[in-house]
Formats: sequence, structure tokens, C-alpha cells
Amino acid sequence: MIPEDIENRARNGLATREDALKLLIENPFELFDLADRLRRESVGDDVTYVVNRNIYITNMCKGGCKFCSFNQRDGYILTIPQILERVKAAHEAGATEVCILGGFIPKLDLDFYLDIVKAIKKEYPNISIHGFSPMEISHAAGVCDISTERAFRKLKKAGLGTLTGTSAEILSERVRGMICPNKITTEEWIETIMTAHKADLVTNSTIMYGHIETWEEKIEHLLILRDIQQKTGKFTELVPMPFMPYNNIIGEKMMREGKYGPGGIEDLKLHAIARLLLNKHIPNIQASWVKLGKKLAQVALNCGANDLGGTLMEDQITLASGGKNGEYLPSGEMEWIIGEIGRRPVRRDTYYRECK
Amino acid sequence: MKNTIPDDIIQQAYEGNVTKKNALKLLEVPPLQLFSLADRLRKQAVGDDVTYVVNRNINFTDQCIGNCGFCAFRNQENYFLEKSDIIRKTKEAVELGATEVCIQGGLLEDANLEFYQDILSSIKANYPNIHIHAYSPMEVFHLAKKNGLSIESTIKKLKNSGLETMPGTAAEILSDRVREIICPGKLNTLQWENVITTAHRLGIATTATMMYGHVETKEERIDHILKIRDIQQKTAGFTEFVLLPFMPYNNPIGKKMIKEGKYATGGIEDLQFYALSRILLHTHIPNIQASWVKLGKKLAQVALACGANDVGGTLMEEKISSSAGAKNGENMEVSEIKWLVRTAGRKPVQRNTLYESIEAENDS
Repeated sequence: MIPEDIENRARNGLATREDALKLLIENPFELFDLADRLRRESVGDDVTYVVNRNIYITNMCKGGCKFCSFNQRDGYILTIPQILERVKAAHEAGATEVCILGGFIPKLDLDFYLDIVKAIKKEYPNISIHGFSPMEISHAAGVCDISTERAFRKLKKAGLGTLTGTSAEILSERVRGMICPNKITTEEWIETIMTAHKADLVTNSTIMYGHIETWEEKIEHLLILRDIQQKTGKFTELVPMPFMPYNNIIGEKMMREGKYGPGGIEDLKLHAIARLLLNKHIPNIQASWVKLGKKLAQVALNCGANDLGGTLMEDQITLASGGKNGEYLPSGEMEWIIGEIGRRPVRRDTYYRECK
Repeated sequence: MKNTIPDDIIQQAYEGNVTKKNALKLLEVPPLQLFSLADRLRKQAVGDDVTYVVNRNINFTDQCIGNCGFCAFRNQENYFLEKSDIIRKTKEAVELGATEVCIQGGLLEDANLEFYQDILSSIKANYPNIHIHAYSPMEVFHLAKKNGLSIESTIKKLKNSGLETMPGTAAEILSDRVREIICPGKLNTLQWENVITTAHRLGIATTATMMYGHVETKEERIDHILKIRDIQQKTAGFTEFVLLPFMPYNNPIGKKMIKEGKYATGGIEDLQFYALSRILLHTHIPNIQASWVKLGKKLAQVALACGANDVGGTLMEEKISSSAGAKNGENMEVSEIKWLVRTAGRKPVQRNTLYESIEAENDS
């Protein structure tokens, strides 16, 4: 049984690191059940999803992250007309959001990003643009010798709706030193994301887990996010992203040692612990069907999650690392998955507002 | 977690006689409670070991005169393996440490029993130690008919040629209403039962399977599981129960479902039926298999916490065939099975077809 004081703290948004560690050694069903109740109390029985499309503007990246299967040395960068073509297809398929993703290319300056945003907004003023990583923008600002805050303000003014909360991975210097030594540090990530929030940009938040990090480090990561949220209130959601070990350096090394990616039980625990620690702070926990698979994503909806993510249409990154859950989940199947567990499917926009 | 499962149902579960009415009630309780009950029963029945078998599937032909509406395999490539191909595949499997070959094919127009016997005796002549798990009840039924023999003498002949156990496939859902819709050309419920119980009587153990998530009702699934329980009480010939969630992609039944806005069973429903199978079969069939091919590796691990205690075979086929386009998800290394079992807090144990554990030479 879960001690009453832990349950009370969780209910009031005050669960501690020790509480989380304690629940991890409990019977997992107790943990899942608590997370499920907290989810119901905070967001009810609605399960949201967004009709969107990922657009990869490039497949190149100089980031050198050892967990990535997507970075090419020589690859493409989409031109603006090519990007607009993809936005058009998304728009015609009923998407309310395009998610613009790419790699870290040091030579790109802020104008590159501004031009993309402006061009999309000009043609499709009603589509939300979600995209870019905090690290990319902070770097592009540096190239142009302007402050990061100013860069975010310019992007917002140009029409960027929301920024992604990626490149967070695990916010621990020990872990980052091993999996992405060239990436911004924990301190820099926190500062950059808070700067974005200060520039009035809303972002999501992410955790990429299941590689070399410990549970303590995962919990610490979630508490850092909670801390930021208490100060800025500008995170819309948490997207847990299980690590996939195929075709990348970290994964190959793990597999040689007989270790693989996280099993479904760890995935469910992570979603439940996230609900526990973020309750009252970040209301939305996403079960990513691309990473978890459709079946397990539905189970995660009973273990703390309340959002199924996007219909997507393409997810090159997951595909490259051995994901095989498909690249497109039609609204009809989303609603089936949600309705089958007695919940109400709700189509949302990027800001978690119901689409009428 | 507050338990809302009535005491008398829990009592019945431990005694192995949960009724149909109570099985339906169990589908109404919060799923996490159901999973937790099944997990406790599993622990009582078989402890914390999770078994797997190193085997190779050899599907010797996709030629089939059947007309099952759920099949995406029949006559796709129109291939037929000669006896020498089957021997070669068995050799490769033996060299990679397989303890079992699982041999099934389609229904051939001119199915000749001698050919089927010849496959068995040739394998046994070359590899006497490999266990032959072969021929579905439908194949046996078809062979008997084509060769003008009784089921009993057909199985006897196969057994004399080296057949050791049979897959309990072709069961789908043991309801003639359902079979009429999804596989009208297949043997009916009574005929399936007859082949299976005849095999059991002749000392050929079989698995039991259920393919669910298409046109059947939940009641029909429960009836199916209870029928398996009944047979087991009479023959004790089932080694395990394997749940196979239906995949609605690339086959006529599935296409029709999708047109009507129905898709594959969700993970929660899958887990509910793993749990319910454990509960209904408790004290009768100790082994419930989670098929990672159907569930995905991640959900298969979760199923281990909801009543399952076996992860099936390594499906060496995909490992050996270096055929282009083989995806990571279609192959499961023994080391990955062990990882999934251990990270679920359980102990991986290699078994043979009859669920006897095999001590690995160097268990890392």
C-alpha cells in the first residue's frame, strides 16, 4: 500500500525525490493506480491528440550525440518551397500544427529560421508552428551576435507558435558527458529554456531515458522541470521518450553488454513517476505511440498519461533508430484507442485547447 | 490500491473454477486490479521464472487451398520447400543451438501423408535430438481426409515417423458462429476438439491457442478459454496457452473492420485477456505465453506482470534469413529476451518444448 503522506504530497504537487524512489520499489500496480487517480483528478477522462505533421528540414547534424541514429554527414536541407509543399499537404490533411525539426548545423543563422517561420505564416496563417530546439536557436543567435532572448522574441514575432523542449535528454552533467558531450550543459539548457519562456514562448518539455542514466537522475530531471515550471509556467506538457538502442553508438555499446532499451514496465513506471512528481505543475503527460507502440501507449494512458501525441505523418528520427510502430496514426485509430478504454478522445491544438 | 474483486471470485480463482459469469464480472473491475490478481496467481503457479525456447519455425509452403479471411500469408510467394531444404534449415537451427523445429505449411491440394511422414523421419534420421513440433490440427484433419484415413491412424503414422508434439493452432475462436465468418473452410469446433483430444490420447502433447480481436464477442473468448480448460481436465495434454491478438492489416477481415472504424485490440484489452486466461486456467494449464511478435517487445514484458510466464520462441527464421528488409523488431536475440525478463525482476530460463528447463552452459 502507498503511504498516505506520499499520496497527500503528490496530490498537492509536493512529492519528493525520496517519495518517488520509495514508490519505485513498491508493487508497480500501486504506483500505476496512484498515477491514474492523480491524472483523473487533474485533467479528468479526456485524452487529447493533435493532428500534425513533422517536417524535417534537414537530416544533417553536427551535434555528434552518441544516442542518435539520424545524423548524416552529407544530406539535404529543404528549401522554403519544399517546406511549403509539405505544409500544404499537412494543411490539406487537416493538420493544425506543423512540427519543424532538423539538426544542429553551426553555419545556420537566425534568418534561416525566421525565413521559414515567416514563409509558412504568410501562406498558412492558421497553422501552428511548433519547432526548433532551444539549442539551435541559442546557437543561431550567437552566429548573429544577438542575445538569445532577442532571438526568441524575433521568432515569436515572426509567427513561431511554440518551441520544442528538446535537447534536454537527461539534465545531468554526468550523463551528458557520456551521451552528448558537445551539447549545451544542464545549466545552459535551463537558462535557454527560461529565456524562451521569458520571451513569452511556450514550450513542451522532454525526457529521453533508458540509456545510461539512473532512476535518481531521471527523478532529478523531472524535478528540474518542475522547478522551472514553478517559475515560468510555460511548459505545456512532458513528452517521455524512451531510448531506442539500434543504429547508434550508445545503443551498440549497450547491446554488446547485453543491455537493451527500456522494457514496457520501465516505460510505464516513468510515465507514472512523471505524473506523480509533476502533478499540479505540468498537467499533460504524453504517451508517444511512435516510441511505445500503439498498444503500450494505450496502457500508459492508464498509468498517468493523458495525451497520445500527434498523428505525425512522418517520424524519421524514430525510424532511423529502429522504431517500427509506423509513421502515421489516423485520427480514426487514435479515437478507437482512446474510446476502447472508456475515455473521451479530444482533438487539441498545440496549446492544449480543444479544437471545435 | 483498493481491491474491489469480490472474495468469492478470488476464492474460485485460487481453486481453478471461476465461472463464465464471474469471468465476465472480472472484465468490469479496474484493469490494474485484474492484472494484480493474475500476477499473484502466476507467482503461486510457476514462481518467478520466465521461460523461452530456442527454436526455428519452418513454414515449408505458403500454398494453401484454405480461405481464411484473416490470413495475410496464403499464396503470397507461392513457394514450396523440398525435403532437402527442410533438412538444411534444421541443420542451421541445430548449429545455432535450437532444441525444437516447428514445422507447418499450407493446405496442399494433393497432400500426401507419406511426404509429411518423410519430412519427420528424415529430420529424425539426421538430427535425432531435435524435438519436432509440427502440423496443425487443420493440416492433420486435411491429411486424414485426403488420404482416406481416420484422425487416429493419421496421427499414429505421424508419431511413428517422429512427430513429438503438435501446435494447437487453427483454434482461432472455438465458436462455429465465428468460424463461419472468418474461416468457413476450416475444421469446426468439434472437429478441432477431436483432433486435439485424439493427439493427447496418443501421447502427443499440444499447445492451445486463441486468436482474438476480430469478429468475436468477449463472451465467445471466455467460452473458448473454458473449453480449453474442459479439454485439459479430461486429457492434461496442453503444455501452454498462447494468446494471439489479431492484426487487422493486410487481410480481408481486417480491412472490413478498419472500414467500420475498428482496429486492433488495445494494449489494455490484450492485458485483460492475458490476465483472465491466467485466472481461468489456474491449476489447469500452468504456462501462459506472451507473444512478443504480436504484442511488441515492450508490451510483452508488461504481460509478464499480468499473468504470463513464457515469451515463446526466438523465431530464428528471421535471424538466419538475411533477407533484406528484416527489421529489428522481427528478431529477438536470446540476450534481449534475458534483458527483458531480468528488467522485469524475473529469472530467464531456457526450456524445451515440454517446458523442462535446460541448463545453459554458460549463463551470462
